[in-house]
Amino acid sequence: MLDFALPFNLGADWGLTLFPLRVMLFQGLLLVVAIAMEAWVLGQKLGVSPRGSVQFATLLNLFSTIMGWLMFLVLEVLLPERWRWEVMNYVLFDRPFQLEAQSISTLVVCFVLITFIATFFLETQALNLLLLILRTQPQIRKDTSQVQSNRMNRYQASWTDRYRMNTLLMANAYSYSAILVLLILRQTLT
Amino acid sequence: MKELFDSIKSILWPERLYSWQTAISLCVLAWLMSFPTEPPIQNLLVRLGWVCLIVGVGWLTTENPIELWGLSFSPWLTGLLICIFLFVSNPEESPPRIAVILWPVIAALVAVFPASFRPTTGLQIPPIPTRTRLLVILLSNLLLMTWILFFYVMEDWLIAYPGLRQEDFSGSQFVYAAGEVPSRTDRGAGIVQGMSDVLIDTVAERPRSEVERWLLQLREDPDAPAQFRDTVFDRLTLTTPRSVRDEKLWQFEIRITEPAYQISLGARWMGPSAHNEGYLMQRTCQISFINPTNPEDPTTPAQVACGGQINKIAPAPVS
Repeated sequence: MLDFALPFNLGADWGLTLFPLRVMLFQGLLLVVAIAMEAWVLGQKLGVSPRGSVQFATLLNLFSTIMGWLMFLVLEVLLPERWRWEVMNYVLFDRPFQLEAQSISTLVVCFVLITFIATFFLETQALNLLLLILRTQPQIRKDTSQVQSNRMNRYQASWTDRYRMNTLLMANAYSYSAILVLLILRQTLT
Repeated sequence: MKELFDSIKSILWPERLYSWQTAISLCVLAWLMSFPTEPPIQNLLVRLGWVCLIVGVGWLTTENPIELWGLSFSPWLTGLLICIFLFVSNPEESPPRIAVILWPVIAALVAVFPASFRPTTGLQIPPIPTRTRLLVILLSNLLLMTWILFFYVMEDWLIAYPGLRQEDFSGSQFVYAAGEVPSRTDRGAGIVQGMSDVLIDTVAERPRSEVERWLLQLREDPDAPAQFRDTVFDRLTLTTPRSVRDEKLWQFEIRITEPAYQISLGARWMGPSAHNEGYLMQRTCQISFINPTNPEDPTTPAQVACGGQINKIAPAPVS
């Protein structure tokens, strides 16, 4: 549990200080990759301008990353001590504490799934909020006034909630796959 | 010469009354006035000076931003001043964590302020075209805040489980460890020192028969080591901070070798570790009975020597 009133002296008393530099750098990299992929999907599917789609993707990803961190910080307080040791061992030494290999893989799969669903949910809410704040309906490339024979085109041009959500789901799926690949690469390379 | 004079004059003497120079001058004025006054008024004047300084610096750096690679650092400078003003009451003490945690957030608010304030109409919701940029600033500073929070969470881990400090963090994908642990504050060494203190207290100057019975009990009776452990930790709680919660993560390893009674006192770190089984802090004490006339006399008083250094025995890193 964090004590906010404690003095912040940087290792003056304890000598040893842990700086989360590695995770900051890696998270920066992941954010850039995720923003690039999601911006590309948003641009393709929703017909938003390149600049607008990058902005949208940046805001959505920053938002979900912050929410993820806050959730981690809350969980760290709520977890029973044994599980906190498990988290500490993973964060500080990159290995399990007392967990079996099998339960780790189950946990990882559950964790990835939950994060994916939570991210998707958060980002749809954030996108709705953003559209409200920015008062924009990102311009639609296709001309809607023209009679469209193609049902798909009409569906896309209608800029409905459902189509928006599907696009977001797709964008998230792409960026998550990329992030997973990066994570596995890092795990195998180090 | 005249140009220099003119430029100094233009800095000191603004063209408009409504400018940052006015705010800074008000700050200097308030601080000058605070010298001859007494505490209640003086504190008020100093605070007033701070507010004027913050306004002045914020204004100055918004008009002439300090930029590096297209990123303006001015809001962070103003934010730093605001944090000092809000959270630092005594300059001798180090500031509280909340000052550091809120620094990026306050800086973001400072950055958002010029767009959401009009001298004529006061506060307003920023105009639509600037909102995306402002949101990016706000969110990236919030991300910075979560990183700072994470930094403090890890610091609290080191406070609650001080045995971690002797560990090897090179395998971590999250952190970079800097600095060395001073041996004075090392938890494992402290525990071993406590063990030897308790040993000396129980054994020194006691007759040989009593000491031997105690040692035998320590080795044979399953409850005796736990009792010894409780005594050690009871003694240690007097000197350790309340925030330390790692008692159950230390395993005692005591070995008694005959006939000279070499007793090896060890404390093994069983908590989160880079190795399968932590590391061991260990020292050897010598119990001797010196009686030149009759070495087997059961009343000979015991002498304990725990001079040896406390060694750390760590397994080779598993890579």
